[in-house]
Amino acid sequence: MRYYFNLQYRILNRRLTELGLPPILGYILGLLAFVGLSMYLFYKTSYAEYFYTLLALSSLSRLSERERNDFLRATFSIGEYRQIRMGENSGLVLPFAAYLLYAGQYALAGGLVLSALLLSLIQFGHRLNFTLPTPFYRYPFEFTQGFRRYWWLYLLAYFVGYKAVEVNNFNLGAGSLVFVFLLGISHYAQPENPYFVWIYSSTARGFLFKKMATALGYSSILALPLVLGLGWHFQGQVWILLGVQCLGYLFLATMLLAKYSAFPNEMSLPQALLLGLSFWFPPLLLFVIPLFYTRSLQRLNVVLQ
Amino acid sequence: MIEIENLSKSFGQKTVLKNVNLRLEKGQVYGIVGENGAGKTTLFKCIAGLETCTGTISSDFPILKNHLGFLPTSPYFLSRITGREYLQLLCNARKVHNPDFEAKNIFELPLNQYAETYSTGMKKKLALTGILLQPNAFFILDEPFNGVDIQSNMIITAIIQRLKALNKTVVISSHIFSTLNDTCDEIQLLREGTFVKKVAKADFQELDEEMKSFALGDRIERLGLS
Repeated sequence: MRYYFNLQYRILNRRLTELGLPPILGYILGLLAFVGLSMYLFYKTSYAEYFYTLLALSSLSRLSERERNDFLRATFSIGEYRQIRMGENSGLVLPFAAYLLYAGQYALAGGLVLSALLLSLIQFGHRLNFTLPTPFYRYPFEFTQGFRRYWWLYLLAYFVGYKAVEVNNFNLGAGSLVFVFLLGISHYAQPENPYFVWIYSSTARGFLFKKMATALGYSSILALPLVLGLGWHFQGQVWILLGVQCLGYLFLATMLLAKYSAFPNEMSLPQALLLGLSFWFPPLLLFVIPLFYTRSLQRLNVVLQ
Repeated sequence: MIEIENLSKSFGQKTVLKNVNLRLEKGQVYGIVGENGAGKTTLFKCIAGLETCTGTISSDFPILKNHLGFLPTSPYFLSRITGREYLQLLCNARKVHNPDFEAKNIFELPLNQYAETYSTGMKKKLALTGILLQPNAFFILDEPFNGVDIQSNMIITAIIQRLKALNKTVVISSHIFSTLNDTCDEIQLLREGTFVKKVAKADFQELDEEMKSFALGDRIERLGLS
């Protein structure tokens, strides 16, 4: 078991080295970015503690995937398997719990660690026998996968939207809409196997525009219940909602371009930083979008021509 | 027609393909045989454009890959995507509108099930169905018979023969010699990244014997089984 965690540590170090960072610097930067983003979230957002807890819990979902759990079960005894899973889950949420404690959210911090331990007993892949229907059958890919992986987070976002109407809190509602777009953005975080780009008989430009149209269309479907519900209740703030939605589209398109600007590799640290900066300061998008677009064309041309 | 000239490929210091030359005609089925690591899959990926290489690949098409159906040895699948959605994705990519998946599901695959839950053979059959739904003129089938049941083996053989009759070009690799015997017009033997022999249909049996003798050598005797 100790070897397993050692191996994970080595894998993490390798990934940081691949990003062009000495591991120690990677850990320091990671810690600074984590604390900085946490402070920013709590400073800027109402009900930040709930979003923060939700974010921490959603980060655990990949650890519960069937394949890796099958591997762990096959490799370790059931006792060791449980210890590994509890160790992983609690280790991942610990920084979040520590910040919640710092923010005085003692109940949420305790609840988060407890939920993480309970979630270590659940293997999400069991539901693979059941095919979750989606409205994305016409152009299946990122949203089909993402919705099936994170359907429960979408449900949670709708629930938060409903609560926003119930307690008459517009900011909470706008936050739920932001969360839906963040989920959509997360579906474009990983590059696909080059085969799934290679199969297209279109130009790089055509490919990107088709991808963007699909992303905007499908994110609209997922945002629609919130936009309609919140728009109906907060009629005076419809324009703000539409503004949030437009910004969501813009960020989604930027994420898509950022992904293909590094294709078939994962985004490099400078690209990720540039993306993060443009999300923090949207006027930067005027410079970042053309840059990512041009690079995406170059990268895709290698595979598509 | 596809003409491959002086195709070479290296991974770092290791040269995998050395000056490969090959001419592929319409309506012909070509078999590529060779040991594991001989360079078959790399050659296929180079032809498809999934690997960069040196040399030239020319064809009747401005962009060959847009008319190429490539069945990889281990087909790639996306997680949480059903068989039907996989087929839809492949059709969308080549602008095939309103395909009749039910009628064309000749391997009777459970299309509403996630493709990642399919068996090895079912995955191969799904990937093959996908490239057959596209209007391809050229097919590269890397180990199409691997992991597939005997009935499906027969169907795949018949499909290859139909593709030939339709004047399509097919390149196959297989470790099952009988399947090549049934389908190919010509077999090329790839050894250490170079074509060392080209065999016409009349001489397939001779090639089989030669390959057996090369593969076995004195290996069994060396085991000293008693």
